[in-house]
Amino acid sequence: MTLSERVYRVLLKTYPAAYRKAYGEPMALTFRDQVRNAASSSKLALLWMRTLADWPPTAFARHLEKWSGTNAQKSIVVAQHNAAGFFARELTVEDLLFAVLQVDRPLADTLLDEAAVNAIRREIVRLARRKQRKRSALFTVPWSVEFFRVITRATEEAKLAGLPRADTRHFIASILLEEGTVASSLLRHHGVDRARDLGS
Amino acid sequence: MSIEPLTPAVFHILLALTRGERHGYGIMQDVEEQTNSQFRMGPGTLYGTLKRMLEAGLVAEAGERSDPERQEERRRYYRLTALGREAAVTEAERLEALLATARNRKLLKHSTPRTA
Repeated sequence: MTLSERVYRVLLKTYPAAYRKAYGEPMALTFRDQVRNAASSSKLALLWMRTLADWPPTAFARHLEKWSGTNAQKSIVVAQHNAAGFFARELTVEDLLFAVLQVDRPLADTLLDEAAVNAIRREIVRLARRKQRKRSALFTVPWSVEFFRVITRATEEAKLAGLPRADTRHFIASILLEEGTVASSLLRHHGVDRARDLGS
Repeated sequence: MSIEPLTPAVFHILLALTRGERHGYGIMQDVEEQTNSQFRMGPGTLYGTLKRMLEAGLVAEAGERSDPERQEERRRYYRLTALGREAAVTEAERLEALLATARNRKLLKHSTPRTA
């Protein structure tokens, strides 16, 4: 077993036990194949860069599956999908807000009127286009620090409230707390208030 | 899991499996080939996506066996299900229609509007 594979097997321990039991060995063998195919040290370094970008969001997403409700999970998938479509460098809080408004229409309708939803979506698309790069090397766009914080906070709040899962409402509440982001400003600008609209 | 529209990762995996049963690394290599190496899928993305696709019935496990190129090591193979094939066809048709609209609206460079 190569040093790379040994290190990768340590990283695999960060995935949930049940997932690791089902997919840990195939993942390690697939990584072994990738290492064998990396013919030079520069290619191996590149492989590690890609692997390290792929690892945190996918490990966290597997943990999140235990805590997130259907709409919340779907929002993260849609956010990834949209960000990949824009060849984004990282997954942002704005991507998450866009996805929540897309996935959970009843929640969007409760919080905002249609004109406000469209205005927010237009602003986020404009922002994404401005940040767009020519191409991306990965399917899983790495999470930004702010995105990670929003998801973690939402998950923790759901746990504190004694709920089995976080849902899109927790995401919106958490986005509002992420001051300094465009997503938080857009929600406030259109009158969404954490205490009044989300009961927290 | 909603299967329409498919995420890029799901669609590329379905496309890879239209060529027959593949193990994880085989799928990765096929995706690289499909995209001229512009997109690469890490093991975390690949197996996370395969898990969701298995749950949605788009793919199925096709047993474990040795890779002909690596006799000593057994690999888990995956195959397309009838639902997976149907989803891939639906997605391809959706993208084709979308592309036709984009062409008709002269959104693409060198595009010639087509009549329906």
